[in-house]
Amino acid sequence: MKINIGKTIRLGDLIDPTDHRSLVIDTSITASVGAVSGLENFKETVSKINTICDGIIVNPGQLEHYGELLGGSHRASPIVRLDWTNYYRDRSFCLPAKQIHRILISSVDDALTVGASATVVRYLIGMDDEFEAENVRSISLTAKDAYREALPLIVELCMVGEKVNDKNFDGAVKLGVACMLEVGADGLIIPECSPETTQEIGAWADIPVLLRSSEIPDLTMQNHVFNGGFSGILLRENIFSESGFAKKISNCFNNIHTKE
Amino acid sequence: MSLSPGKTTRLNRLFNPNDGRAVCVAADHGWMSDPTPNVMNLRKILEEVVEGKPDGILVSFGTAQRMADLFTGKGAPALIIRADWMNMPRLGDSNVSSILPVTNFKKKATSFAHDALNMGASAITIYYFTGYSDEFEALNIEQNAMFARECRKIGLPLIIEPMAVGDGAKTKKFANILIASARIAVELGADAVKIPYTGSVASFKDLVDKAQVPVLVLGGAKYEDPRDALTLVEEAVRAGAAGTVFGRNVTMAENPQKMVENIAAIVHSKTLL
Repeated sequence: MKINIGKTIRLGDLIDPTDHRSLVIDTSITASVGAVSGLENFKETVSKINTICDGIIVNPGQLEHYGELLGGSHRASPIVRLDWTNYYRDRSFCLPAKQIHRILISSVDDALTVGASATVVRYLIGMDDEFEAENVRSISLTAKDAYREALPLIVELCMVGEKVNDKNFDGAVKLGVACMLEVGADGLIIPECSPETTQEIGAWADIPVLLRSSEIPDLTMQNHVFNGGFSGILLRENIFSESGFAKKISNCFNNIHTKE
Repeated sequence: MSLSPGKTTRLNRLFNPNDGRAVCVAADHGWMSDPTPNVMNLRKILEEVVEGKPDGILVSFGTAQRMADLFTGKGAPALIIRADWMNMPRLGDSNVSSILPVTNFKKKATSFAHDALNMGASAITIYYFTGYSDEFEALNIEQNAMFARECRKIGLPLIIEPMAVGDGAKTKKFANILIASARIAVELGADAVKIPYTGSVASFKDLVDKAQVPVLVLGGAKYEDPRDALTLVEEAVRAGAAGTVFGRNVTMAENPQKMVENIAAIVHSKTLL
């Protein structure tokens, strides 16, 4: 029985209560690497997508400046990114990262102040022991704040450390799912893994799980996600460099909610 | 924009509501570098500066306390408090400060945003150093995010000052680092950015377009010929800058009042050289 009414109502802004499905788009990478292709003008881009998805992940600073673009019953709900990492800074960035860091840049209380419907943090999997311990501790404390403030906490699994390889990838995803279910996450974002693992996680996790995708998925992929028991899809920032991305997202959104 | 009323009214004090621009003077050098003449004669210099009608003056907490009279009354400049401290001018490879050199780069938060609000400030300014090391940048991000949260809570505008330092600052990627870091500052919660000139109108325009908040160009080291400083102002304004935060080019000028007036002529009247 769900007794946290605040979380239930806010999560309902993101996961459509009528079909239990969701399409979420992540714009928050700009805190790590600056403006990426398609996100140079935040307001212009978000104005194109704010009625054709259920939620948009934003950094607190952007939500503070452009809160009028999000929320309400017919627009995407804001999900505030609470953490920052430099792990996206590869060789193509002007200052490639030599050592990976993850820190909190916002809090549950701050996210409520700017009008968030939910929060999201990263669990970087495969890092060294000390990094992992600190990451788990940080998420645990955030989960307690989220419980007290009745604001949903979504955890994104990022398979980035040296300990993750092709052989243990799916196992490491499952380990991350298990740990974050225990920590008190209200939703999960996971990377693409094998069909077997997808089915397994879909049947096992009793909280909404979104699959992270770098491209706007076709019908086959959408079926794979929803038949696998997932609640939705998270689109990464890469989609903004696709030509006609708004039209494609709109089609995807309508398919997901079977509006057409 | 959906900023809180507190931030909106305070930004309106700093940025002229008629044109959305600001001419500010940085006078916080005594906080971080050698006691040069512009530091030791600060009151006299700032009295001259105020005669030039700048929109804002950036000072330390102590200077704000001692010279509050300069910020009082209609038409007085908006008070901007420097809320952090750093020792970069005293690092070995710097030519700015040399009495007591240091070897380790340090930056510390020294005021709460609430202290600045109590002081009557219209904004605070804090540094964001990038390029020195990943760990140092993470510390900067963490500190800036804490200030951003506090400023959001109390309705005080936050001006973040991204600075490219270390080896990265010496490469041809300098402009790209500044462009990225300006946007990163905004994602954290900056309401305006104070930043060095990137070196060209085109690259600075790119920075302004991607920042999406008012961008104030800083002057840096004093130019021998003040006309060079004014050329920088003119180029930055042409690129879309919302104004300036000039320090030594004003406080070390032969006639600080005249220098402020000359900058204001470009920024507010769009008088191009």
